[in-house]
Amino acid sequence: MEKSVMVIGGGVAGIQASLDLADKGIIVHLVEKSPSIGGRMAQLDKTFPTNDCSICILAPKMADCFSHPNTNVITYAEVVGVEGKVGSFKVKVQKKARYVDETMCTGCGECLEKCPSKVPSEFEMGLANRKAIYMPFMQAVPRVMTIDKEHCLHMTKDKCGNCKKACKREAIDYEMKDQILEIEVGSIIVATGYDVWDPSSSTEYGYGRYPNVFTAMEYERMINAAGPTHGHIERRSDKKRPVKMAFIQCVGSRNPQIGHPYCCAVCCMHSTKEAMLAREHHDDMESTVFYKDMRACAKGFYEYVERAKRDYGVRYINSDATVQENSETHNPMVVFDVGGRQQSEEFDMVVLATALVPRKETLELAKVLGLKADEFGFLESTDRILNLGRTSVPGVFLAGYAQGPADIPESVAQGSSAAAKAVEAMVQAGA
Amino acid sequence: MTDAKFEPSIVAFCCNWCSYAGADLAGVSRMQYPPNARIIRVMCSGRVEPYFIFKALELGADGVLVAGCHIGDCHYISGNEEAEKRMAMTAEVLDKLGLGRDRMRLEWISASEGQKFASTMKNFTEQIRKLGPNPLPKASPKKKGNPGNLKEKMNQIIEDTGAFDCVECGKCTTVCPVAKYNPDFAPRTVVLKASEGLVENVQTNKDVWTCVTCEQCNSMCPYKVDYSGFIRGMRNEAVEFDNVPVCSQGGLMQSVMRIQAITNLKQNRLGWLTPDLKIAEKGDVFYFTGCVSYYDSIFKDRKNLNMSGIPQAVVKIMNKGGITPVVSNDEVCCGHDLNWTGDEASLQKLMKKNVELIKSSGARKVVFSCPECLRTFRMDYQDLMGDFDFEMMHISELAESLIQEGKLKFKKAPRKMTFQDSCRLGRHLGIYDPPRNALKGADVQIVEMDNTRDKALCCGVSAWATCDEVSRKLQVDRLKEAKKTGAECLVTGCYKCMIHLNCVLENKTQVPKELIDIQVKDLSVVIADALE
Repeated sequence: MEKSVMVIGGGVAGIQASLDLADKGIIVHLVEKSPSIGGRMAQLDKTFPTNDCSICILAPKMADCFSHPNTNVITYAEVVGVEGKVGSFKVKVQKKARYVDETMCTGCGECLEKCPSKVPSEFEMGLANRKAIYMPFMQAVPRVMTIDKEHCLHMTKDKCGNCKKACKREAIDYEMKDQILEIEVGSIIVATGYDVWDPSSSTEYGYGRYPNVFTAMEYERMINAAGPTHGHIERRSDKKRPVKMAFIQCVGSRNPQIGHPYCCAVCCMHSTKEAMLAREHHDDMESTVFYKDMRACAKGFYEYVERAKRDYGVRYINSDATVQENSETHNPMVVFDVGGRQQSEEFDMVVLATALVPRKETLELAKVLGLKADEFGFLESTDRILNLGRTSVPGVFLAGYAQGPADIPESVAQGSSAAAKAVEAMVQAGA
Repeated sequence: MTDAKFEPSIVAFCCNWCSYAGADLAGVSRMQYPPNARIIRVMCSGRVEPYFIFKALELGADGVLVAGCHIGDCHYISGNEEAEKRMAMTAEVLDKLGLGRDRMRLEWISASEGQKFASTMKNFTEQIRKLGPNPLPKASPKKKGNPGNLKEKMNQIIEDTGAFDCVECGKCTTVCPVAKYNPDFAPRTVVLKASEGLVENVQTNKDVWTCVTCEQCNSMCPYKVDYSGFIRGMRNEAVEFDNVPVCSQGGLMQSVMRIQAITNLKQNRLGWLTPDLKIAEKGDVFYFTGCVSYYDSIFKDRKNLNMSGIPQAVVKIMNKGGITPVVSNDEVCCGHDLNWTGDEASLQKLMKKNVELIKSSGARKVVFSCPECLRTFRMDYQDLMGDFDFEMMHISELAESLIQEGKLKFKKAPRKMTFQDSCRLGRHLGIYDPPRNALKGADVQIVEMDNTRDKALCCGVSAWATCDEVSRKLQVDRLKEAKKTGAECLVTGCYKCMIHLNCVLENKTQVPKELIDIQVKDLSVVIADALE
C-alpha cells in the first residue's frame, strides 16, 4: 500500500504537517473547508514578537504546499465520513461545487468586475465586500475563483450570467455538482483551528451597538495594507482616524461565566503588537492596553511588551474593563478599576481581544472520527503533557489550535510533531 | 383584659416649647396623675418619627403619647402639622398590623395647659390599661458577635459564595453603580479585605451596607463570584457587632416587618380590595400581594404613588383572565428586606407562616406582583426548605401567558413606553421578556433605554438601607435615560423602583426638571388600564 496521510485543515499547522510529510516522500491529501488554504495566519497583519509580515512569510509555504509533487490540496471540501483503522482509513470527502473549473481558471479576475452581487467578505471580517464570484484574498492558493451559490444571481434567480460571458477560458460551469471523493490513507491529522467568538452577546463591551468598538481580527484587517481600508485605521462612525486607542484583553476568555475559562494564549501579545503597529502607522497614536494578567511568557515575549512600553509609549493598565459610549461623539468610554476606584476615560476607538474558541464544525468532525472533546470543546489528546496531539483513535493526530490554545510557532511545531507521529503510526501498522 | 396588677408603661414624647412645659406646670401645680409615663423631651413634635412609636413598642412600651403645641402655635411654624400627618400614617399602620391605633395618641398641650396634661395622662393610662399589655414579645437580648470565630465564619461565607475565585480583575468595579459615584467603594476590595482575613469589613466598615445588591457585579463577574450573597452573609455577621445600616424612614420598614415575624396578630391588610374584585378563600391560584398595603399607608402623602392601585390592577387582570385568586389577610411580609439587612432569623419565621398559609389554601400556583417576594420565595425559601410543590411566577409571566391564550382583550391605544428591569426581576430571577411581551400585548411599543435588561441601572436603594446622595444620583441617571427615549412613561414591575424613582420626581433635585420629568408607572396598572 502507498503511504499516504490526510491532513484536515489548511492553516499554518496543517500546511507545516503537509510539507513535512511530503518532503519525506509521503503522499498528502490536504482537505480545506474554505476556497483557499492559509487559515487565520493569512488574515493577520504582522506576527509577534518580530513584527514580520504575516502573509509574506506564510505565502511561500502555501505555494510550496500546493505545488509540491507529493501533495494533493483539496480546497472547498469537507470530510464527511471515515471508515477503517490506522494503516487503511477510507475517508469520504465532500468536495463542494465551486462552479469554476480549477484546471481552467487562472484567477485573472475579469469575472469579478462583471459580477453585480456584493457580499460581506468573510476574510475581511465583514469590513469590505466581495462579489458572489470571488477569491478570498489576493494571495489565495489555489489561485482560482469560487462562486458563492447563496448570493449568485444566476443560481438564485436564473438571471445575470455575466461571469460566464466574461471568462475567456470558459472556466465557469453553473451545472457543476458536489463530488464525493473516497480516499485511502494510513493516518489522519486534524488541524482545524479556531473560531473568533462574537462579543456582541456580552453587552458590557458594546460591540455591535457602539460603532467604534472593533474586534482584534477586524483591526488586523484594517491595519493591513491589503485590507479593506488599505491600512488606514478608521472609525466606523465618521471614518476619521483615531488617536487614542484602547485594547481590552480577555473579552470572553478566562470567563467561566460565559463558558470559556481558558486563557487564549495569544492576546496579550497580539494586542501589544497591535498597539505598536498603531504607533508605527502614526506618531501621535496613544494606546492603552487593559489587561487582567500579563501573560507574555515565551522567548522574547516579555521583552516585546517592555519594548512597547519604552519605545512605543503603550500604556498598560491592570484592570478588566467595560465600555460605555459618549452618544454625541460616539467616542467609547472605557470604565476600569485602579486600586479599587472606578475610573473612566474617553477613547477614539476600542479593540477587543475576543476569545478564540473551538469551531463548531470541529466538534462535528470529532463525531465522524470518533474523537473526544475536552471540557473546553477543544480536541483531547491521550495525554496533555507527554503525548500532546495523539488521540484515543490510533492513527489520528492533532495539531494547532484545534487541540487547545497555541500561537503560530507552537502550531507549526505541533504540525511537525503530528507529521512525525502520523508516519510512525503507519510504519507500526505495516502500511 | 383588665388586669388589676397590670401597670402600663407609657412613653411620652413631649415638645420642648409647649407640652414639656405643660408637664412642668402640672408638676409645680401639684396635680395628681398616674406615674406610668416616661417623658422624652423633643424639640418639636415634628421630630417624632413614626419609627419612634414602633421602636418604643418593640422595646416593651404598652402605649406611646406624642404631645406638641396646638396647631398654629408651633415654634417652627409647621412642625406640628407634619407630626399630625406622620401620626395619622402611624395610626393606619398600627391598625393594619393589628396592634391598633389606640396604643398611640397625639395631643396638643400648650405650656399653660397643666390640667390638660394631667388629664391626658390619666385618660391615656386608663385606655392602655383597658387594652392590656403590649402583645409584642419581650425583645430578646441582641446576639453579640464573637470576634474569636469571626474569621472562620467569614471564610465560610467566602467559600459558599465562590469569592476565593476572585482574580481581582476589577470588572465588578467597572459595572458597579455605587462605585461610579463613591470612589471609595469597589466590590472587589470588600472581597479582597475579607479573603486577606481582615475583619474590619464586618466589625466597623460601612462598605457592606454601601452595596445596593443590584447584582451588576454578579452578572458580569467572569468567575461567577456571588457577590450579593457574599454581602448578605457579611451583613448577617456585621449586625452582631453593631455594624448596622442607616435605614430609610429611620428603620420603620424593618420594624413593621419584624412585628409581623414575631407576633400572630390579626392584620387588616386588605383595605385595597374594592367590591368589583373577585377573590376566593381557597383555590388554585394564590396572589401574594407583598407589603403593598403597608406602603400604601406609609407613602400616603406621595401624590403620584397609588400603591393600592397595584394589587387592584393585578386582581383585575386575573379576573378578566378567568382566575379568581386566593388573597389572604393572613399573609405576612416575605422577609426580603430583613434578610438583606442582616436578619435571617426573622426571614425564617416569616417563611414558615407564609408557606403554611399557601399550603393550607390548596394553591398550586402563586403569583407575585413584587419581584422581591418572588426572589425570596423562589431562591431563599427553597434554599432553606427544599423545592415547593407549587409554581411561583411574576404577574408579568402570568399576563404574558393569558395574552398568549387570548384571554385578555385590550383597547386599541398605541403608546410608547420604556421598561425598567428591576434588579430582582431581571438579574436575580432572569425575567426579561415576559414583562415586555405583556406590554406589547397591551398595545404598548417598548423603546429601550441605553442600559437595559441585564445592564439596567439600579433605582438606587435596596432593602430600605443606605439611601444617600449616591442613590439620588443613580435615580437621576435612570430617569434621564428614560426621558431620553421619548417614551410617555417608564414602566416597572417592582414596588421599590416605583417608590424610589417617584421619590426623585416629587422632591427637589439640582437637575433641571425637563431632563428627568417622566411618569413612573407600575406594569400591572398599565396592563389593567388597557384592558377592554
